[in-house]
Amino acid sequence: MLFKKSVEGLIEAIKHRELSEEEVIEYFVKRSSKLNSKLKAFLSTCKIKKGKGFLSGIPFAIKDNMQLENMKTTCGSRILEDYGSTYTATAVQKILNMGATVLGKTNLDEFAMGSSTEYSAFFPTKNPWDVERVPGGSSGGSAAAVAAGLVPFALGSDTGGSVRQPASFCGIVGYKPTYGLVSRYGLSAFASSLDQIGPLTKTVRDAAIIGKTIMGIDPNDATTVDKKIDLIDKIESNVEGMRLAVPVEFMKDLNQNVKNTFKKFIEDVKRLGVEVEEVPIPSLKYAVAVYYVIAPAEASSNLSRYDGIRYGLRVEEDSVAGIYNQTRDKGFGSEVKRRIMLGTFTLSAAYYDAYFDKAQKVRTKIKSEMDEVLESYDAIVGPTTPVTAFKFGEISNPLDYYLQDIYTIPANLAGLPSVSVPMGLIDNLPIGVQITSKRFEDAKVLRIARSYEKIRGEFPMPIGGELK
Amino acid sequence: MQINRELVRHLENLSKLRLKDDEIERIKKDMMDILEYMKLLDEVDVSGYQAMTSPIESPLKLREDRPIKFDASKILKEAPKLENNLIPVSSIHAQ
Repeated sequence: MLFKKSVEGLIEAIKHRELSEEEVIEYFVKRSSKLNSKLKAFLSTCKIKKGKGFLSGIPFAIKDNMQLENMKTTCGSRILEDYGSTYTATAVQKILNMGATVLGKTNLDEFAMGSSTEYSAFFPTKNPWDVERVPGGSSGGSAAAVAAGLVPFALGSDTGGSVRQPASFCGIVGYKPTYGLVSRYGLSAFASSLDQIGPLTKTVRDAAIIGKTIMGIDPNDATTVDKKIDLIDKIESNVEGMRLAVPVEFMKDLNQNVKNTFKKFIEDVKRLGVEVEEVPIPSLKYAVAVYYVIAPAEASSNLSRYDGIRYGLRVEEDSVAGIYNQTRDKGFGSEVKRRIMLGTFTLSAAYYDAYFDKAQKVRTKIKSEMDEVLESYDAIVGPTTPVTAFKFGEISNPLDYYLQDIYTIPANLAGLPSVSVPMGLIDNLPIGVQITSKRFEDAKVLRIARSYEKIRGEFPMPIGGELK
Repeated sequence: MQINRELVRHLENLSKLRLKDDEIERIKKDMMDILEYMKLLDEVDVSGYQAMTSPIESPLKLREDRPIKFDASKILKEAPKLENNLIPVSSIHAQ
């Protein structure tokens, strides 16, 4: 039952010589290769170890939009299908330096644009709780791999909820650090002012341990900040007297099942001596609209580098312009094209003020309203997702699909730390609660999450049926 | 917001994409739906708010401008086409 162990549990077992480092790695290699054919969590597999440290003997996986030298980095796209990384992302390197072993690169929606992995150019990943359902996304491969115990932890990236939403759908912990704490060097850029790398783990303590390992200023990413935050030392401290705000806007159209599960969460944390109040944050209702102006605009600019000339796919034509057009047409999938077109539109001279500039100002307004609430409350809480995992093909309209991110987007817009922790099962499908706080209050977010996790008790793993 | 074929063609050109006819029709419809939803932003009063370009409060620190050692052959190996260590492309002026 090694697959049930947390990162911490495995470290302990190795320390006490119950298991050797090699035994642990071999166990997970075997388990991964056996179960991956059912879940399709990995785009490529490997066994790469570089350093020695407290994570020696611990396997992990990374989302396939992070560079790992001498491995392919496809971003889930045909345009990078054969692209080989020439260097390693800072966050990945920091984990490698501590002795962990990468076992594979996980599936994602193409260039992290999606909430289900259905937009991966290669294949969708299946939810280990129900293989007819999506694992969430875009870090769906990482979430499925951790949830089914193929690896004890994985890295994902979160631009509008891409770590927290799949964590909610798969019944695990997903932590998006404060924007600026973790280097984005080597993370293929989607929307640079929103992207942040974060861990997917089975426990809150593991999220803190991995979060702490990947943080730090990096000369290769000018948006990293020089701050040291100890995520572990006060994680077990009690939270009595803390005040949590539930945005009225989050509760309004919530379906009854999710509402009931969330009510149970509120009752649980009240037993910890925490006050919970509903608070209006009126601008939150604009978050999705703002996000779908800003993220595609940044994406349309970031993805202009894929031109068929220097690397990746090239479709030959008798003019350079033809190479650009044909390569991008063949190389990009429908969702990526939709967002490039949308971003190009909102950035074009005639519409810039009406859309892009306006959205950036509303972004400031959303941030200042959230900051104001966080002056009087320790954290903002609510369900991570409006529903549990949906079936493949169930959501076909782009706008309905975009609205899946309604609760997770605000933390990205404001650059805040946010964590999703499993809070219950609805018809045997997990759903998470999201805890968000002020910039650099990552330790507080994880401490609240840890206190709740203790009172909630152990969360089950999806090990029935095909995953035996 | 009306998205007509002419505007889609213009955006396609700026985006360096070449869409098929059925893709154009679908994107027209999707963009109209999405932009209709974004009308929500019209009602927001943003007077007094500055445009936010990044969550980072302090000005970004630039790193020292000095060359770093890197094996260029590794990068060139990724080029889809290479002749004598140069990346060939088709004619820039061809129509």
